Amino acid sequence: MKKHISVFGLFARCSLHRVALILCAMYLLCAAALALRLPGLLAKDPAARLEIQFAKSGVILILRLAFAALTGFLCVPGSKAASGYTLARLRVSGGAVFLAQAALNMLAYLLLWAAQVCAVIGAGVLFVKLTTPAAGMQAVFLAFYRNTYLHALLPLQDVLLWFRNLCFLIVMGLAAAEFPLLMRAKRRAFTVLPMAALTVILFPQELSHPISLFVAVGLLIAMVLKLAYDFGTMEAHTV
Amino acid sequence: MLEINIVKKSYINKPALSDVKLSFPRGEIVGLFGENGAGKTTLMKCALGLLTYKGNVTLDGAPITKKNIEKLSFATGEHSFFPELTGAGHRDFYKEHFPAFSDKRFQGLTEFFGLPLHRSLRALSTGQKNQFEVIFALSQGADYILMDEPFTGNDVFNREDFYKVLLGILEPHETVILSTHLIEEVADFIGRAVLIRAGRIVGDVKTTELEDDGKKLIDYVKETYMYQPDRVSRALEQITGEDAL
Repeated sequence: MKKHISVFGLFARCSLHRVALILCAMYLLCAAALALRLPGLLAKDPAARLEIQFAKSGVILILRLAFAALTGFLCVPGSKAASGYTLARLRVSGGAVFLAQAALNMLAYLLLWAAQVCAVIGAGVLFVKLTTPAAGMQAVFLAFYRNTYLHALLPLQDVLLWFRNLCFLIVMGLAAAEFPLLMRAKRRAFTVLPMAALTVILFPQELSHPISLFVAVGLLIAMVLKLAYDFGTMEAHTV
Repeated sequence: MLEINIVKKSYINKPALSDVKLSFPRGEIVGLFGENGAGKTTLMKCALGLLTYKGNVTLDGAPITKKNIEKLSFATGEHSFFPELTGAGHRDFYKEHFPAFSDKRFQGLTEFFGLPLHRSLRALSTGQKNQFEVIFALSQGADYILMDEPFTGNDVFNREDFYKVLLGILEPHETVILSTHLIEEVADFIGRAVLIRAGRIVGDVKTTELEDDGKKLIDYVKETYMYQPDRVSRALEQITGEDAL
């Protein structure tokens, strides 16, 4: 077990500074977007709701870009083919190495998710204090109900949406770990691209149209099958 | 004993290794020589189980598996380390995974070469990356240290230093298999030369045998490869149409 944790630690050491960099950049860009665009938007429409101001100021776009950037960065550690020569000399199996990286990726996505919720709540509270202090926290939580992206970020009592998000989280963790796995085996790796694109597109979908739930579960099944195929064909290539 | 028994390997119908049979007892420094594409790297990767092949490779009579792979280490010009990680990070990782890891050797070699331990390896020069690559392989605690063109990008003084250090630190049970084009440079440091050409072993000799015959390693290599010394002058004649010197 110690050796497995050590592999997890290896990927964590290779990834954490990148995750921190993305979170910092995301916070800075959100703050800059709000500081630059909010005064103008408020001057135009002082009564506009919080979620509309967020969407217009580009905050939601920044949150989506942060997800894309994180996916790109998580694909890098261990993707050098030659690094596989060291991993192949460990007593830990290739499957365990993959799972360690996938678990780390899931944690990183979880961290991004939490950071995005904090960013929106923080900015919302500040916005309400500056514009309509009487509205209080209620306005912030209403924003999470009214905007589909914000609602997907914090589904509150919507259990199915939590479940769907969990599916997306697992799919992306596995897909981002599959990329370096295939690169080390000098094979083409592109699964992460459609997975990330579908997650970005479907994440803000309301569950009144349950397609995103079905797709999320479908992606999870497809990802597991793809991994079974990957390991199956790689097994055939081992000595 | 590391034994390579009738190993065959092809890449898309192109043979890369043909019936290679070699054995490496402990305590040798072996030079593996051959032209580009002769099969040196393929041979090493087959021995490490990084490529599929026909035949078998055994270590002390047992096939190489996850149970004994740690007795082999590998330093390659491709750099098998993790670029984002520091030298100290690699040391900690190696300590966890290779019980025979020699901290003393790692410390001594990084100090000797003045390598920074707390910078990510990506930020280092090619020469420093090569040095780390070789140091990791030497410190792993492996019985067989396979080195594939590990010094590409290092200056001649640096390489000389490394050969001397290598001779000084190796334990009697450790074997180094060094693939390189720098035949004359390593001639004084190796005890055995293996020559590979088009995937076949075409020469295998102990340097003491060459000394007894009064031959230099480079002459043995040229002789084995049937090197034609006049091929340059003939080519020049053809190109220029004049008698070359």
